[in-house]
Amino acid sequence: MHKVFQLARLSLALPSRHPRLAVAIGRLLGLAFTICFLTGLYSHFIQHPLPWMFFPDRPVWLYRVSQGLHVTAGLACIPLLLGKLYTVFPLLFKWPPFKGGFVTVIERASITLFVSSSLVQLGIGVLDIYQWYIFPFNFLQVHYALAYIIIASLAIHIAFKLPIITRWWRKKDSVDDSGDLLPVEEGELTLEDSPTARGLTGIVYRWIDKQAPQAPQKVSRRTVLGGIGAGAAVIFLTTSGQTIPALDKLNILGPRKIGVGPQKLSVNKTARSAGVAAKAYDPNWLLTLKHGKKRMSLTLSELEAMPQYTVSLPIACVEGWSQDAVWTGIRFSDIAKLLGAEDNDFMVQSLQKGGYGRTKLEKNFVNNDQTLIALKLNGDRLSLDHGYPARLIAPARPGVLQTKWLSSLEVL
Amino acid sequence: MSNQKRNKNVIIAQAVLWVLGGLGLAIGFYLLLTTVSVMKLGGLAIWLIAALILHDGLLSPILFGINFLARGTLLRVSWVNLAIVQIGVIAGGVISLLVLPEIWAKRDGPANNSTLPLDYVLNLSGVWLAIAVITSLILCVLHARHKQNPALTVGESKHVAAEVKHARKDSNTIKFVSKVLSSIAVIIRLLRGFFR
Repeated sequence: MHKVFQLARLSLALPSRHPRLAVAIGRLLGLAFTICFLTGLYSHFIQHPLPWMFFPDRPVWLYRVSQGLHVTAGLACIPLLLGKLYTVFPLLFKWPPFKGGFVTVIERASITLFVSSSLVQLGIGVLDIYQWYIFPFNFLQVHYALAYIIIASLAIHIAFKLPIITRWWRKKDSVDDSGDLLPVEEGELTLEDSPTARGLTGIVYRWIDKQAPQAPQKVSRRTVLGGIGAGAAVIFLTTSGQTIPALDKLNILGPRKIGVGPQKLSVNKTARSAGVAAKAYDPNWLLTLKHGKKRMSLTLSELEAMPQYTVSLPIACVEGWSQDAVWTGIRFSDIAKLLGAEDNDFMVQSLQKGGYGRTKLEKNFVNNDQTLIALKLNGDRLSLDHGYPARLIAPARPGVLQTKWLSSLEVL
Repeated sequence: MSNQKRNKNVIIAQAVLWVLGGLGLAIGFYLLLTTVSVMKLGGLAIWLIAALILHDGLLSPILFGINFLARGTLLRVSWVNLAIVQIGVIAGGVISLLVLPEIWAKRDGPANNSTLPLDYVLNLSGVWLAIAVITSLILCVLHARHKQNPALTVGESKHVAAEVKHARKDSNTIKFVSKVLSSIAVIIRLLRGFFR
């Protein structure tokens, strides 16, 4: 029995639960969450802009990089969050949980909110990149709202812990000459109330504490940091090839693979799931152009007879994957000139009803020479799943706004 | 910076964080209440509570258990060797945590044929194998260095004496690693069988 408790104490490995380690992991986690929050806001507002917002159409990789970062940082949060929770693991056993009055209640409520919403946020984020919607609520609305709640509860948590964070922020204030962590001194703020735990757990802790030989401090600390680093590195190496072509060969666990899909390009929404197959294949298909009361229609042959341009632009999705492709078609600006509407925004309508079937194209995108009404992909006519007979493709724009199966373009 | 000034800065920063935190919470809850239906909010609440239960009631005790078993082996394996194996197991555990739902999602039927196109069971097994090989290589290198010069022990000058004492435990480490490897092989076989 004694040995069991001794091992239990070792398993709670005290040296790795030093405030310095919690601060070191905490700031990495804070950075990763902030990156996710900002890149998430960028993606949210480019899809649901407020009237005064402007989104640049250059560089072409802007959206691709932002969402690659969003998902990569989000996945890195998994080992970081688990590591952070591990460093404060004994606090789970603190009893009674709310001793210390109103402030302690607020503190513990904010950290509980942070932990549970972060776990759910990362969980549904991962399920979203697998497009596996098994949760009983909408992804978009909940992921967006939780982002604010997480950042806010994190800010409150940091406010509470700021004295500890500033105490252990710098390495030179935290370690002695031989590189060992300085002990948390009497009266100095520690991560937990002193004694660590009360009640039965506290008694057990103190009893086994007396027995425990401790791991060499640096080994214990480096195991935690090494584990987090190695976990994040394995995730990065085996998945980020879905957006970084140089790492494609290592991409053995990513939910997407470069070159896999119809015409060697991934698809999110298929024609079947959008319910457009019959209309898209209709030989009488027309692209309708609207400018006020003026109406024009172009057949596929007429579109093909217009000057054609070829551009290389990525399809970049909010789920973090992106793939380069070569598109051929008519410049959107040529259509704008045809309608005398170079200085206007456009409403782009798909054959798809609802969802992202109707999107706004701002004038800077309209006038970008790389924005096309594409008819071909990688040299071949668009396949149905890629938007046959015609689709929009523009630089620095999320995949969901690259409207497929075009039906009409309306000047706003 | 004087302590007094530092304390003042901390208080100002705390106030700013409180305000930002309050504002963020207000926005977050407003969004939840105005964009998510009551039924779905109920679903979210269940998930939020389940996340805590899963973490505190399942993941933490499992981690504790693994740690506990690993520390049991400690009596036969040196600290540094154990740490290296642990880092490997943590990395493998984290990637498995990420990929197991992916395997399940694929089994459930992917959204289309360009989603989840890979053999994730096979590839995850490959990752575990690579981790095991790398971990074993590091242990072998350390073992060789130990034999050559017992004082050279991954920069743990303070613990050199302890390490020398533990050197004889290295052969046990190899047995330990082979045990870990064979357990992994069994788990992979079980998983592949299950997801077939």
